[in-house]
Amino acid sequence: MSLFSEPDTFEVINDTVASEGSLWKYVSIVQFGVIAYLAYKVYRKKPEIKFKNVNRETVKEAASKELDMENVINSINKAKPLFKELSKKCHPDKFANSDKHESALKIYQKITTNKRNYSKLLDLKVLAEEELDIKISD
Amino acid sequence: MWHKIMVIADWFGEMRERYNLIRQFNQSAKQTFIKGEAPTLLEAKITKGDSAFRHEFSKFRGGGFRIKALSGSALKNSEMMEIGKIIIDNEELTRKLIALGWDTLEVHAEGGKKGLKWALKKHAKFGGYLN
Repeated sequence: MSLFSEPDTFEVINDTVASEGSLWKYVSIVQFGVIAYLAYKVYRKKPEIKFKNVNRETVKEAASKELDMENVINSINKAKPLFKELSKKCHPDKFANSDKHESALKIYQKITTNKRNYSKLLDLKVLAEEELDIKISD
Repeated sequence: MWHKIMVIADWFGEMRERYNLIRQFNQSAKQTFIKGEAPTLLEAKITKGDSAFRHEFSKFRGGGFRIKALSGSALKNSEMMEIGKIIIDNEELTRKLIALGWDTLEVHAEGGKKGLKWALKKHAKFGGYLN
């Protein structure tokens, strides 16, 4: 009976040694992973940082500036059709042989510069109606 | 000690400004949609942004300013592009976004899977503004 029990004991010991070996294998894999991650963090290309010379107070001022958010939303929804209308009605070619050509040219340049700003386009619409004597529909 | 307290106070102030901006945008967008002036209801939210667009003031995991179509008609590519350009063209808004720690402007169509993104630092014109 005892002769048969000995090999069993050896097998058990061998299993323990094998499981310890596999545990260390996993630990080394994890260690390798951690080292690879840290190496990636150290050697990866860092993002370009701009604004290094920017004054802190100026940033705070820019951050606390009040904005007309209604104008931003109106620009998203209404600026494009108004720009099309204004650029069509105030095109300098329409005033080619008249004394209004110069002011039409100036207004048209301003319209093109502020094509995505609804409130400025509204101001330019009033200016165009006054100076060029035209009627622009809403 | 006082310096650290001031830094913490600044941090909370910035966070309040960030959420104020988001709230103002969402309120204005909602009002315009309710009045029937806008075909699509837009919503702004904070996302983690793109790490490639980071800059010195970027907030950790909060660098994305996403404008998303919430309901109404879905946005086309050209419309998404136009919304992005309107934000980028507004210098004051762009500078404010950068100063408050945003680095990526994202405009997404309904569902949030399809979208466009811009690196705010490329459009800041911060140098000219500051000098």
